[in-house]
Amino acid sequence: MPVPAGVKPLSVSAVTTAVKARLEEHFVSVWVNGEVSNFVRASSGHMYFTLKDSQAQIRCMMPRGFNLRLRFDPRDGLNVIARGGVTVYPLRGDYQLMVEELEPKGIGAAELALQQLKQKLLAKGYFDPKRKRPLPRFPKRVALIASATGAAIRDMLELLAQRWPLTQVVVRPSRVQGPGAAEDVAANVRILSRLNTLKSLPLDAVIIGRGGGSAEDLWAFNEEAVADAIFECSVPVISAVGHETDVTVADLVADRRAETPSAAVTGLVPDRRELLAQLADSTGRLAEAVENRVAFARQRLNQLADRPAFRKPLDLIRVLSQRVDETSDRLNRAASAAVDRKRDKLAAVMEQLDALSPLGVLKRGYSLTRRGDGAVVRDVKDVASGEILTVKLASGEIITRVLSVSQEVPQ
Amino acid sequence: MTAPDTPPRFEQAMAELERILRELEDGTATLEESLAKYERGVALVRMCQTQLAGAEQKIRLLAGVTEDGKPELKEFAHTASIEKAKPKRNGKAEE
Repeated sequence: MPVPAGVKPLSVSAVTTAVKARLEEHFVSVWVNGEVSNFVRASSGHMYFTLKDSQAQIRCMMPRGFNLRLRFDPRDGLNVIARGGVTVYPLRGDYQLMVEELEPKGIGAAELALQQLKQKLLAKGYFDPKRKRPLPRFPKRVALIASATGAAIRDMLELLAQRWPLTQVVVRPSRVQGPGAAEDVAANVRILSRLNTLKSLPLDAVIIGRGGGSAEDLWAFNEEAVADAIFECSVPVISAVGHETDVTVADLVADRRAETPSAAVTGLVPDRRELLAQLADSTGRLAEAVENRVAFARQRLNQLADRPAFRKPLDLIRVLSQRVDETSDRLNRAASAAVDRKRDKLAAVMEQLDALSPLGVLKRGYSLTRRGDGAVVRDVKDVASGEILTVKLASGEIITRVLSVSQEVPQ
Repeated sequence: MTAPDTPPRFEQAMAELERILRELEDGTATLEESLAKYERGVALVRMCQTQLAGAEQKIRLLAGVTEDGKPELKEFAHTASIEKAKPKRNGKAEE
């Protein structure tokens, strides 16, 4: 193919430069809708991908300076709208789109970012129900992270004072919405976590509280920084920041979620009035239980007294029945009628016992041996060699010293 | 104040009281043990009631952390801030 006269062939570079200039002039800023494929984030920080539809595809490059502002992670299969200028990559002769802005299509970037963050944290086990820590029944010290002047802190303090003044409260003021709120909340969670770990301020729970506000104000609680701080916190965290309809990432990571700061307090501490009622009830239960025990003892006394061949010395029965009486005296007034009836019955039993005249038992040659402290010796293990014992007979007492102790009964 | 206050022993008292109630209602203890448990139980009830009646909430502001990891706690002007915050009750959003 002869080159026509007067024509000077152009260099590849010259053509490419010319094409590049024409393309760049005509496609300064175009909006392109397509599906992302072959997505790669290079070590330089630039992003490379292809946008395609059913008939065509176009190479794209999103420089680091632009993609740093992205709120979501582009990935293969995502339907996006890209804005940028068309240019040429001279080394390969490819034309490509230099993307300056990228938006997911059909869903807001922020919403997509939230979805992606939730997926990421889910994969890291942040929402695992197994790692939700239990909260103590009677928290001794509770920290509140909230705006120092808002309704949340006031509601929580009022309710804590009303329900459970035994808890010490540590207030850590924090920004909870607006710029810097996420970092502030995260930093405050970490401070409390550290003080708890160092045992210089042991805590039973941390409540992150935020009063009413619009759903957009919740963004701080959808930030990864807050999620990380809650996940790593050494103290169980209660998140009380959301709306009924908006569950934030903080809510999902926290050990417990409350719909309002007041609900967080109600769920955390018991109610003093309920406890006082329960304590009053306990007094009744204690008295009733002892009364039942006394009734059981009386029953046994009766059975003992009813035995025709009564062997025990009267003293023992007296001691036992006196103990029963002492117990009865301590029972509350409500049960006194029942106790009186039983006491009458006991008196009757005592008369019966007197009638049996156990002194006769001693007269028949039995004796009662007591230690120095007055305790009746029932077992050889109760005494030691050299110990002084008092032996009671019908006619009087013998003071004696133990020469030896033998487990065997002599025949 | 830097050192945290001694936490109340309410929890231990309640736990002991509940154990005593279980044991007493079980009815297996001797008469003497039952009586001792009853007396201990009543004492625990009083102890808890006294603590509940006399408790005054301690509220501290965590102002900061010292270099050696100690909390810097200050009195928190709770009532004052409530009074100040009250007129804002109908406000839409808080700071």
